[in-house]
Amino acid sequence: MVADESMRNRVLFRVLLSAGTLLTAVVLVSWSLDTHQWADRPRLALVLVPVVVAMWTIYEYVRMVRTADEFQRRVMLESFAIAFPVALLLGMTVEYLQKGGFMMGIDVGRLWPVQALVWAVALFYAYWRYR
Amino acid sequence: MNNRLRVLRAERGWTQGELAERAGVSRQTINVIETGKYDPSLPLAFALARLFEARIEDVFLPDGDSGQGA
Repeated sequence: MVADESMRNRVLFRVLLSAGTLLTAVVLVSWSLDTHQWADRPRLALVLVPVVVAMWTIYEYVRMVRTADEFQRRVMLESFAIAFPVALLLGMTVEYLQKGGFMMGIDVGRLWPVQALVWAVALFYAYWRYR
Repeated sequence: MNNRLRVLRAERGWTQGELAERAGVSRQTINVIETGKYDPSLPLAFALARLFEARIEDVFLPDGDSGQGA
């Protein structure tokens, strides 16, 4: 598909909007679960809210990749090539530090926001290399 | 790979944005091609050459060939 600049900007806006909504949903749901008592069904519905919003974000991201031109796709690929092993290394490091008795207060399952941040930094770096 | 994109674009009075729109790519992509930071794929190189009504070898040149004699 050949997309013009305005279409790419609209798609990028929707990606940012969905990512912002996801961040808001994650914060609000986490706060709500920590501070309120919920029955099983409402709690299940509540925890699924970020999942549904994340699915929307993924959908918008895939649309962005499909409307990107070849250079933009190359930058995205390079960002993944950096971020994926770094995110794995981060998870592995924390896990082994915990096996050694260090950083016991950190839940490895809560590393994903940091891994997402690593990807964002890698994306910025990949674009910056071509400036 | 060198290219004469900036010269050809200037001859037609097109901005990077206008060329990008005609080629169906982003303005940033035209910029990195012009500055030699990114070599386009063969289909995009052909598409750009076609926009300038030139042969691909008149737009894109091997390293070390500045295109002065082209």
